[in-house]
Amino acid sequence: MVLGTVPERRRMEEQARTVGGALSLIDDILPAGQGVGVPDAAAGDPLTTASWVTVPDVGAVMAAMADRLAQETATRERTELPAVAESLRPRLPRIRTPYDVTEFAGRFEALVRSIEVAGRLGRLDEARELANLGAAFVLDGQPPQPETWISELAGNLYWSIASATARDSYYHQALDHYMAAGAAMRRAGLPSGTRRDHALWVTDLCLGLLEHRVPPRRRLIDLATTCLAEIGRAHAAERPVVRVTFAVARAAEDRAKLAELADPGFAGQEALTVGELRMAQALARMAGPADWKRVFGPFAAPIYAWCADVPHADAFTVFGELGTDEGLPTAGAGFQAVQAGQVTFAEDGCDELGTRGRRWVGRAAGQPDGGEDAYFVDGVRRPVRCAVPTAGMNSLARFARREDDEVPASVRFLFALGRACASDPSIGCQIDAMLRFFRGLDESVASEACGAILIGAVLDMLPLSTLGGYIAHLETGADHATALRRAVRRVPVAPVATVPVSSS
Amino acid sequence: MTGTPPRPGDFPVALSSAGIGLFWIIEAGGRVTYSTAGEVDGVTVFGRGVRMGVRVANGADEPVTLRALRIRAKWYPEYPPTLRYHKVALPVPAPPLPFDDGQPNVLLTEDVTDGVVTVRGTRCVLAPAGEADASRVIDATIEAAVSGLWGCHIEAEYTHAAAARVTSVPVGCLVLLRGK
Repeated sequence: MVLGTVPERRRMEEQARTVGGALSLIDDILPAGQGVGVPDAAAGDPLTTASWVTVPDVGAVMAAMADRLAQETATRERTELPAVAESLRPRLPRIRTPYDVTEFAGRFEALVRSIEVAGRLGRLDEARELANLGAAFVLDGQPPQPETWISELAGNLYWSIASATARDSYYHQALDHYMAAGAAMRRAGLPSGTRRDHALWVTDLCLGLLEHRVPPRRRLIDLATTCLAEIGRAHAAERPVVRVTFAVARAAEDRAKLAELADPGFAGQEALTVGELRMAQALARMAGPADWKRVFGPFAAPIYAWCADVPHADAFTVFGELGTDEGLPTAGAGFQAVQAGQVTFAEDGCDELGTRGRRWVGRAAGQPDGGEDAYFVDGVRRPVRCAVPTAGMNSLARFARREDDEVPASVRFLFALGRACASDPSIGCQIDAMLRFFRGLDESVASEACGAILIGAVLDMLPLSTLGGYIAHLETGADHATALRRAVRRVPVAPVATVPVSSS
Repeated sequence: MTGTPPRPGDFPVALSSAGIGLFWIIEAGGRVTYSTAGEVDGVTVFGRGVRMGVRVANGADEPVTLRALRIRAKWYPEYPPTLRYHKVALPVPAPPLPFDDGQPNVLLTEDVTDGVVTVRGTRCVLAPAGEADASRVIDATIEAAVSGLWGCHIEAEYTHAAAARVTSVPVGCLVLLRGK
C-alpha cells in the first residue's frame, strides 16, 4: 500500500496544524467550488503525494470554510446582483400595454426574478412594489382562480415573494394557486399525462418545503397526498410517480401505501433504491416497537431510526434502552475526518489503515458479481457478499481488545447493549435479520451502530482471538450460526476457486 | 417566597457559555457545516443550528443536584430576509463512530415553538465550590426543525437545600432555519 512520500506528508501535516494552513491545503486539492453543495468523492480527484493528513480539529477547518464561503457569496452578490436587477428592468411588464401570451409570460418571469433579486439585495421596498405590480396582473383579491395559466402565474408570484421576504406563509399561498391550477386542468379535461406532470411538480414543491421544515408540516403532507391522488392508477408504476409516492408515504407514516410499494407484485418497484425498498418493507411490516424488537432485537433502535428518519436518541428511548432524560454517549474528541479529493483530513483518533481498508472493501462489494474489483487474498479471488456492516465491524474490533476506559463511550454503550442480549434464545435469528437488512446497502450510522452491537453480542459467544475469523465468515456470506461455528473451530475462510474475469 | 427577595445564596448555580460554534451534521456520506447568517441587534445568528458548551458551576458549600438543563425557545416566523446562511459539504471517508454524526440533543420542533426543551443527559451532582467536580461543561447542540428564527435562552433546574430552584442565563443565541 502506497501511503505517499513521508517527507511530503510531514510537510502537509505541519502546514495543517493551523486552520488557515489546512484550508490552503484543501484549496490546493479541490478545484474552485468543489466541496460546496452535494459531496461527490469521485469527481475531479487530483493526483496528490500524500493521502492522509492529520489535523488537530476538523470542525474548525470546516467552520472556516463555511464562513469564508458566506463572506465570498455575500461579496459576489453585492457586486453582481445590481447589474442583474438593471438588466431585468426593461423586460418587466407594463400596465395597460398589450402583449401576446408568449411575450407576457416572458415579462412576468422577469418580474418574478426581479422580486427575488430585490429580496437578496435587501431592497424590500422595491420587492414590495414589484409584487404589487405582479398582483395587478394576476390577482384580483379573490381566492385562487380556476384559470390554469393565471393561477400558475399567481403561484409563481407568491413563491417569489416568499423567497424575497422570508415569509413562509406565502409559500402556502403559492401552493393554493398551484392546486387551483391543477383542479382547473382536471375540469378542462386536459390529458392525464399533463395533469400527472403538474401534480408531480406540485408534490415535489411540497416535498422541498417539507425538507426545509416549513410549517405546518401536516398541511404540506396533506397537499402532497391530495396531488398524488390526482394521478391516475395508470401512472402509479411510473418511475417519478413511484419516487414521490415513497417520499410522501414515508413522511406521512402511511403504512398501507408503503406496503403497496413494498409488495413484490408492484410493477414500479425498481424505481426505488435498495435502501428505500428496505425502508418501505420494514416500515410497512412493523406495526410498533414490539414488532421491531421481536424481529431485530438489540439492533431495532438504529434500524428504526434510519427507516423512520428519527434521531438516534429518540429511537433508543422508544425501545427502552435509554431514559427520556438520558443522552446518547459520543466517542468524544479526535475521531472526525473529511475527504478532500483523494486526501483524508483526519483527527488523531481516526483509524488510518482501517479507513483505507473499508474504502477498498466497499468498492469491491459494490460489484455484486465480484467483478473486476473483487478482492484477492493470497491469490484467491473472494466474492464479497457482505461488506455492511462487516467493514465497520473490522474497524470497531480494535476497541474490543482494549480496556473499558480506553473505549469511546458510544462504542462501550453499544457493546454493552449487545452483550446484554447475547444469551437471548432469539439473538441468532435477530443477527441474521439484521445482516439481511443491510445486505446490498451502503454503510451508514445505523450499520455502524449495528456492527458495534453485534461485536458486543458475540464477544460472549467466542474467544476474542477468533472475532476476526467470525467477521471474515460473515463477510463471505455465512449466516451467524455458521460463522460462529467456523470461527470457534478456527476454520479458515474457504478459498473460492479462481474464476477468470470475463471481459464481456 | 412572596414578597421575599431572593438572597445570593439562594441561587448558587451559575451558568455561562463555554464556547459556541457552527452547526454541522453528517448526512448522505458528507459532513455539512452551516455558516452564520448575519446579526440581529448585535447577536450572531447561526444557520440551521448551533453547538454550545454550557458551563454549570456550583458556588455553594454543599453539593447541588443538577436536575435538568433546559432551552427556553421562542420562535419568530418573520425575520429580516437578508439573514442568509450557506453550507459547505465534504465527503467523509467512512461513517463516523456511532452517534458522532453531529445529531443534536435539542430539536426545536413545531411542538416547542414557544416553550421549553430539556437537554438530554445532563442530570448530575456538582461537588461543593472549590472542588474539582464543582463545575461541568455540557454540550447543547441545538437544531431548528421548523423554518424561522429561534431565540434560545438557557436555564438550569437544580436542587439546593432540599428545594427545587431554577436559574437562567439571559444571553442565549439565535438560530435561523430558512424555508428556502
